[in-house]
Amino acid sequence: MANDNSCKGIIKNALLNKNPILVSGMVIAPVVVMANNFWDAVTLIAAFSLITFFTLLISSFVPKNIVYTIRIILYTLIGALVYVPSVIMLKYLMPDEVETLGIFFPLFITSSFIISRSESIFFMETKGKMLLDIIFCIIGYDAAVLLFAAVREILAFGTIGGTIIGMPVQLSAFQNPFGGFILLGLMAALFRSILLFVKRLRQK
Amino acid sequence: MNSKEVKTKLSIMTDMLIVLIVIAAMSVYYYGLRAVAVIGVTTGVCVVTDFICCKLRNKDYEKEISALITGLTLGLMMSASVPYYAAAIAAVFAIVVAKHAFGGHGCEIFNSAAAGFLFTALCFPQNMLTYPKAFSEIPISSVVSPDILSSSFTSTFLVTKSADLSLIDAFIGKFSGPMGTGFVLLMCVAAVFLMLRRSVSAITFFTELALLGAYAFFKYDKDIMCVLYFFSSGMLLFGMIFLSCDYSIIPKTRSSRFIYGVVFAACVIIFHSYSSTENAAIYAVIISSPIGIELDRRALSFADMINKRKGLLKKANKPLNHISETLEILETNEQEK
Repeated sequence: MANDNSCKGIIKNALLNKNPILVSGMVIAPVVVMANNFWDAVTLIAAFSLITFFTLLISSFVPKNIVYTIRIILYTLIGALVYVPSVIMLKYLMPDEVETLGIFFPLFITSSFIISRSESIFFMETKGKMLLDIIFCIIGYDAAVLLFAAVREILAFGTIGGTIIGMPVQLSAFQNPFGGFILLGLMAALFRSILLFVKRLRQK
Repeated sequence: MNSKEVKTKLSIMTDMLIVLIVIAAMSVYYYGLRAVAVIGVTTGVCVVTDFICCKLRNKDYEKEISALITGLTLGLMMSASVPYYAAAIAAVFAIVVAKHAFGGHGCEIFNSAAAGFLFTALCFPQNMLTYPKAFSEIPISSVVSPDILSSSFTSTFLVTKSADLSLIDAFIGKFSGPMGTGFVLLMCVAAVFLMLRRSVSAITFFTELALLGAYAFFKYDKDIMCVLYFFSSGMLLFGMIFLSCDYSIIPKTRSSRFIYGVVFAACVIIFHSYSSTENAAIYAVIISSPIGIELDRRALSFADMINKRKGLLKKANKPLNHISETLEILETNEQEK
């Protein structure tokens, strides 16, 4: 098993063992509300990835001798600055889809990735490893959101990416946020049990 | 509490099962083979899903009849015309999500049958909330023609605040609605039987009955017939007996049971007054059951404090996690005395 501090360990943790959504349950509100179908999920992850990556990258240069409270305020300020070009770029690429994100787009500035995980994990590492960790955490998050949205779209609408796949029954309850929470909970439980199963197999 | 009065879970479940089988028999008399099929699907799927979940979780499955009760309860809450796949989905949701996801039998925070019903009602409102008339010929095929279906007696009553229904019909449940929830007379007998057998909490039941009765009495200008319609509609009486008084979610202390009854009644009143939802009792059960668990915790810590002062809880030098632990220690102390 790879050492947790090694590059392999960091990638494995970011993608699987500490997957931001399916294991840590981070930034799930926009997912259960917005990720109703595959294309909404693509918009969501584009917005999340842009804001989170550049905010964390720039925030890592904030000196550590500044008081913690001020540092957090500075991170959100940097997030707000990153938000402006991000929204301009995404509105150019996908104008209609970005509108559907509504309040959740600017709220990414204050996500737990930037507010808490930055201080407790990312900024404790060396710059290279931090960059690797951030990139793979974002990839882990994006992959989980895409998977979740695809499953949700199949169950709730009987389509995948807008293409009808002929599901015999459509469970419209999964279109609602409460249905999204239930589905995400079930997927997280399944993901954890698979991880546990693999771990046990390796131990044997 | 006298040891003779302490009922085992299995004994409570058996009592519930007997009563539910009687009600199911009445449903079969009203709706024929279609009722057998729907109840069969919910019960069968519940039992099979529960067995699979228990095996996957390496749990013992002996003497486990709770899935049977969930399946029967769920079946009786359904329309006789509901497609079989909807009944099956409700059963799977009830067992997998509402029961096993929370740790299995005895650890649920919601009534499984109520959760399963609500999920399906949100997925298939057209199928779940339209009903055939009693004694009408319903085809056994999965999908029933909408021509023989109509809205429920409850929805008419909610809109018009009156109903063209005789006293006898209201008592025997001869109106369109869920298969097994409108038999007022049978429900009353069931309630008395279960309370005499101590399988249902009389405190909770009578608190709910008194508060909801008073609400209906004043809401419908002291019209007794309307009070009767109120109790026979929207699965209210059924919900009070089989859902809110479900032993696996009901609080364990008397004071908590009383407050739980008040919370349930308050939820029903709020839903009834401010929404047009047909099945207020189901929503009320879902909301009040987690509150009931919290009430138990509060009552427990309060009881701990009082008993420690009295010196009854000498052995309890750490906070107890469950009311049964407090009761056990109190019993041991009394035996020592």
